[in-house]
Amino acid sequence: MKMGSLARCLAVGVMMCACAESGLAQQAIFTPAPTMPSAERITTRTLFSFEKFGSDPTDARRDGHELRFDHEFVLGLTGDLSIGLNVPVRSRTVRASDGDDRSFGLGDAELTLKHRVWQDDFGPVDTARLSLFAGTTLPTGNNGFGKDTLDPFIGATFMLIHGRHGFNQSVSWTFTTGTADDRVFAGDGLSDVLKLDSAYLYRLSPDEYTAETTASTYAVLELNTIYETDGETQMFISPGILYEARRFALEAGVRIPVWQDLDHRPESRYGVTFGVRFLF
Amino acid sequence: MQKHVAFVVLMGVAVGFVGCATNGSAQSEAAVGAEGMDGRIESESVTMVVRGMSCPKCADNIDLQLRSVRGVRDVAIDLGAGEVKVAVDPMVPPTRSQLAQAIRRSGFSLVSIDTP
Repeated sequence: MKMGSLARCLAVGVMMCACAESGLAQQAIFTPAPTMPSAERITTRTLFSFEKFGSDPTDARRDGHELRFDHEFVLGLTGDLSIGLNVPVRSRTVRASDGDDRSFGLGDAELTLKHRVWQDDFGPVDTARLSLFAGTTLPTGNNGFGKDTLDPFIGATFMLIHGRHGFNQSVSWTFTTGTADDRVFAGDGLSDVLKLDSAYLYRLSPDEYTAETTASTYAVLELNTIYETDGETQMFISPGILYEARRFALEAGVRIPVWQDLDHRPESRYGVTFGVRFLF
Repeated sequence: MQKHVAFVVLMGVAVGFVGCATNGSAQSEAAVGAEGMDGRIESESVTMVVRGMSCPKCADNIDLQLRSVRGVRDVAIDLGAGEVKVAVDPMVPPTRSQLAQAIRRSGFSLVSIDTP
């Protein structure tokens, strides 16, 4: 790892944190939600993720781990239209049959346009919302973390909140256009990727919202499925917790693989994610 | 070929997003009542009934939008009751339309604007 690259990535990270604005409301940790900032407001979300992988079925017999530092910025264009940019910084350690490798750098950024196409606010705190989103990856990656292509994606996400209960469902499809085939995680290869994410949130506190309510805490349980068109499939169960105040939110979750059918890349052992969302 | 298909699909969806974008003003217009959208608030406070505020962050979205309206002095939000109380500067009172638009830009549903 070159110190120059490290310094640049850290500088980018610090600048992004300094510019941070609001977080996204009642959104699970790994499941996209139809929520978005209000018009002319910006939300930011920073996620620190650790994922350990191994049991590689290929001849490379890779195992190792990756640290990922995601910065997401979302600008509300209108009350129901937003544009977002996610920039990841990645650090990966791989032990393989042909030697070890450590790499650090920027990953491919993602640009996303999201439009809420349907909304039914049926009570003071009760709402159902449906958003469509589309976007593309941007070839910003370096040091082996980029694909040098634009990979478009489309999707839809639904949210239902009733009292203390929240349910999110999201589906997305990524059209892989690149030719790189260095597969460690889903999307690294040549296949298109289907993601199905479901999340249930239960408001632990407060029992009832009042005029004095300034924060709430949610238990989160998610089921995250990734399917690649060459048959590679992973399913995770992801418990977590979300604390949401008016101007910031904290989140933490783990990803536990419950089913994996992989022939071309290592299996996931587990993943841990911590995040913070800000509002200014 | 696949790259071109993907690009066309993406552009189609993007165009659809913009084309489908609506201002959603009909509901807000109905909520401001018989006094009309351009009517100035003639009291020092109003209570707005708003639906869909499911979290503290939602309340802050509304708070920020309302405080950006000229003539709004203070905002107090009761999430449980779905009520937003707004203190108004009587020297430069906002219009009902401005308050309704702030709620719309926040992404929530305005039911009514009531004055004492």
